[in-house]
Amino acid sequence: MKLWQKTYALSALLCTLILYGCMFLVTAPAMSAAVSSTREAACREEKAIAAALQKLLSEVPQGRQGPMAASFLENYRHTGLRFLTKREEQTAYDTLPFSLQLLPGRQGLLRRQGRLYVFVSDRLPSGFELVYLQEAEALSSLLRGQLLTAALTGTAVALMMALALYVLLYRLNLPMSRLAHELRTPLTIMQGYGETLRDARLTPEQAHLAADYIAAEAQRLSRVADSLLTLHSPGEESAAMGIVDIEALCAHLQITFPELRCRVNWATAFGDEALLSTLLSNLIKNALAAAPKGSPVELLAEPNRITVTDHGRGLTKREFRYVNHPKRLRRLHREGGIGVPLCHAIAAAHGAKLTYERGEDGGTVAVLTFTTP
Amino acid sequence: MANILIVEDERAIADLLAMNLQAVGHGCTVTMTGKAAVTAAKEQGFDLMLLDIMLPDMEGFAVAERVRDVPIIFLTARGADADKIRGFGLGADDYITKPFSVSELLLRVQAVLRRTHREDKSYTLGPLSVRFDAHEVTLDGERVELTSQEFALLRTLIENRNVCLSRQRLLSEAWGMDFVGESRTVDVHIQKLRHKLRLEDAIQTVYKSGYRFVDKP
Repeated sequence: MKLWQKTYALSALLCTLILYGCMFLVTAPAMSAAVSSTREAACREEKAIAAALQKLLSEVPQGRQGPMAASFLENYRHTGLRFLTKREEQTAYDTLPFSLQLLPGRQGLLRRQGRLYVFVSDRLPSGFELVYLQEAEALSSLLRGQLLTAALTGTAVALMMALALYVLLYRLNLPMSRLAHELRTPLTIMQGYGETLRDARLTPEQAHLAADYIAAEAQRLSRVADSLLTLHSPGEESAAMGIVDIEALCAHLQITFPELRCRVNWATAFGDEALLSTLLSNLIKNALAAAPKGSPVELLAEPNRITVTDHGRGLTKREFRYVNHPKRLRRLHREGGIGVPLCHAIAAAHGAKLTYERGEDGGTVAVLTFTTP
Repeated sequence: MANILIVEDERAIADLLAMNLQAVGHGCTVTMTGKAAVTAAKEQGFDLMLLDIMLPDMEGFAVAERVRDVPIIFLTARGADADKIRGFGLGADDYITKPFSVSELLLRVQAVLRRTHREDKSYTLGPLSVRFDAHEVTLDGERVELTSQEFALLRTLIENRNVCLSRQRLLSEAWGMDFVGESRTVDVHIQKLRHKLRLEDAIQTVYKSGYRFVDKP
């Protein structure tokens, strides 16, 4: 697992935990209030029933109080209320759905047999103990609903945050990983020729070549670093858009690639010279790699259109499908190196389109079409 | 002199490798694609192949699978363990990641050539003749007695000819990595070699750097 992926996993986990914690903090008071409200309502109702029962019991002899209490409480059977009343361990009336031992003066919620109940236990002045029990189906549904809503909302938000974080870290890491990879080649060249100039006995021509390479790679390093970082900075335009001398650009490419043949019928364009140079260099390199030894690679620059043609074996149908669709390129090309995906990105940054076509002799033509004059 | 095949699509790096390998006396052939490398390896015999993994037409690993009887040193920007394991699994003799030090590369080339018994067995420069396998040095046909340390130093200079070697590098190469000594030890032995073998012009002092054995005009 790469470092940025570990960072993402840790950050996503932390954010999810914080999010669920916040959801709980927001939901808990509402749930607590619902529970309190239910308990208070149950207490009020029990008090009223207890007061009515006590009044009734006070009007009958003690021997008849038990049956009177049972008869009174029976009236509530159809309401769903359940009672237990007893005096001195003698049960006078019991409609509780399960055994329940409570001390007088207790109240609260309990869950039995998969259902939620609110209970109140009381002691009447007449000596009777009364237990009031009501199924809190509405409260149960409310609590379930609130928890489910919090969980679903939290999960949805967490997923969206995780996706956004992943995309952000991926985009941030992508230029860095590509930059690191793309830097290795010029660094190798500069370090190598620097050491060679210092340590090896070279002819004047070799020394000059070494110095040339160092200078060229230092410039390329600077351009690639600036261009890649600029290209991948969200919301920022390319930093060096201006008038590009196409003839001078092609002349420079001809020096870098002696096998290249250039025909230039386009004087200037509006763009980033460094990016265009990187783009065309990539196209020319790919063309040279595909072209048979000794076979030329041709660059033709016409107003709003530049083509790079090779006379190699050409791309297969599968390869054509991918090179003309930048998002599919990962499946075709090895990871590492910037190549065609960056070419497409640079083209897009110039309002241009890069496409690949089959040449007349079976080779490949990379076509860069500028739609913005 | 070893015959080395360089497979590298970046022209500047290919030129760099060829320049340095030729400086120390090796012959080089450069190819820029995997297919060309496979063809060249089949047509000629090579003592070593310096093989880049990221080639335009195929991976270096695929080239290694097709070229089986040549020692290989992989050169690559990909330094992941999985790639190294794959490379060594295909029989690579060494694996070096970019950017690399040229002197380190030359060291590894020499180490692989020695391990695969493809290093030079002898060396001749004018009246001087050295046989490495027999530890024998002759000057104008007359045998010259050298201590083992002097011989090791001479061998190091010859194997890295035309390249400057620092005193520290000479100490580690000729005396061994764990030698604890002053660099003046090197100066003393260099003087002895110069005197015994009449190499005052061939063994040059490079100001502030070290010494260089020169066999090219």
